[in-house]
Amino acid sequence: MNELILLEWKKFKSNTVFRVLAAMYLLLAPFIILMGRDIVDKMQLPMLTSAEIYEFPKVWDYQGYIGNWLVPFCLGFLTIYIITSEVGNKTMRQNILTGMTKKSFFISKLLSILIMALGATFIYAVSTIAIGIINTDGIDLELVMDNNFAIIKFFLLCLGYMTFALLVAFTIRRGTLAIFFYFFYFILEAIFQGVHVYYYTHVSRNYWPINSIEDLHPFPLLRLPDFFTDKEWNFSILLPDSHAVLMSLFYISLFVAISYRSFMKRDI
Amino acid sequence: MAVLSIRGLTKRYGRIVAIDNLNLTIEKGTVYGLLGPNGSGKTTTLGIILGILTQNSGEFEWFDGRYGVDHRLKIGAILETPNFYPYMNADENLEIIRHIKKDPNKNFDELLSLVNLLDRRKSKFSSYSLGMKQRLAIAATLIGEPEVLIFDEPTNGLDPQGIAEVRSILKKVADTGKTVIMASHLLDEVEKICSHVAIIKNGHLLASGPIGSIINSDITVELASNNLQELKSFLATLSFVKRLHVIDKWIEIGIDESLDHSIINKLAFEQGINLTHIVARKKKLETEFLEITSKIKM
Repeated sequence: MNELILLEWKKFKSNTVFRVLAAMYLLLAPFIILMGRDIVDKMQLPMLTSAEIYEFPKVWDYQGYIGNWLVPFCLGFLTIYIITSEVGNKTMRQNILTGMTKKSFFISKLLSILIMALGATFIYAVSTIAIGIINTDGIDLELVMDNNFAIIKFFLLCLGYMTFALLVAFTIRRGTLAIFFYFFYFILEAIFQGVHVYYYTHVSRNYWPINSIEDLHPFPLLRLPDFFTDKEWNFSILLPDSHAVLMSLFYISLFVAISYRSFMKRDI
Repeated sequence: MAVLSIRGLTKRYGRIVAIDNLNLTIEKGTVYGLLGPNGSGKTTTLGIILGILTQNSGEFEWFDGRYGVDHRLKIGAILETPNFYPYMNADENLEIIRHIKKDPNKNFDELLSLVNLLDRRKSKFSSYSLGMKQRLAIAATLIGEPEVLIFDEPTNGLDPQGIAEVRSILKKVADTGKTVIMASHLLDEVEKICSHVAIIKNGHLLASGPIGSIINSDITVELASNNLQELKSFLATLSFVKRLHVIDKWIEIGIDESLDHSIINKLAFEQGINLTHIVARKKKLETEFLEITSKIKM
């Protein structure tokens, strides 16, 4: 396993796209939340305030919500890149010719995702704790660790977006097309949800794949009672945490299983 | 001892049959040429035995199953084009190959020297000419002391100098006693490098065996004079002429490749025949195929 991780590192450590996207994530993920601080400070309750955003325990939710944007844009993109660039350069084919099994090639990509997800989660945890400590008065460990389930949810969020990217990359294989479809699907799913509700107004509209992953760390204001909830609907617009976790686990497994099957079955 | 046994291999792409019931055994130490025109199924065959394509039926076995699923670690292969990471230099790319091959030797000096790339080892792969890319690919195949080397159309797209360089390297590699499998559509290339040959056309194996028993090494000479009938009668008297055909405005004869064809001009002149045309050439692959096919039918 270590050998496969080391191989992936050797392959991409000098790659410009990898470096730029990783640097972008490293710079943006911890600090993007602080960028609009001046604007946020002028807002009144129940709108956003710095107290709402930067203090424990809510900072976990807001920083997590940032992940809903940054993870697909940086790490989802990167996941597609590290797979489709190997198809485009025919190095995937050469890796197999050289002696890798198809299974070990797939596992190497899966491990890359796992490492990136762990790294992103580490950044999330450290940056959130730092921002929270700086902005929270009367801090104690209990308050810091309140909502600590957020870290696990963030890890699942990373895995969710990246395993979806894995699926798209291994099934479409062509870089540009895969990246286009990956982001287009986000719009497509919103359309599907609209059609779903139009014909069948039921809580099941919340269980679509990307929606389930997104609801691990939704926009926190959506959690306010009845806020943004359509009055004609008798259900919440958000999945309960436990459902979001279970559905994400289900979709992550499904994405990995379909990717693996597709990769193993097709010619290279 | 067989390093590769192929039994009843068939591959279809929809209604197109790329390989049809191919059977072939390659013995250790042979330099085996897979000869056939473009689209004959050579690359598909190599793709299947190297695990990147899946056959519809049939089976193959490497090294009598000695290395199990790790058999590719004992094979160095290039298929179609040299495939490397364009943003890496030669050393970094070879390091990837070494890592996969689990070879402890991290020194690539000797390999890069063999393929004349020592002075460009720190240049990015994307800056290489096609000839340099191909040479790097050959170096990569040698990492990890492979027992078998596979080259697919190794001189394709190269300029004459590149062809000469690659052929010279391949000859050196072949002379080391390793088993080499080389696909090519160039009869001349196979003849120069290989000890054995399998001829494939439209997915069918037409013939296989030692090169001398399969490919006729005769030279074809085209001759013409103002009196073709007189020339034909004269040529028929020459003992070294192996075959003779009148083709339109000239006569085509076959002679042994060791014979200097200018002797014909000299002998004809002594008989008062002035040749207006004399060209010696190797037989075209298609001609060779036709002959082999007709031999098989007999």
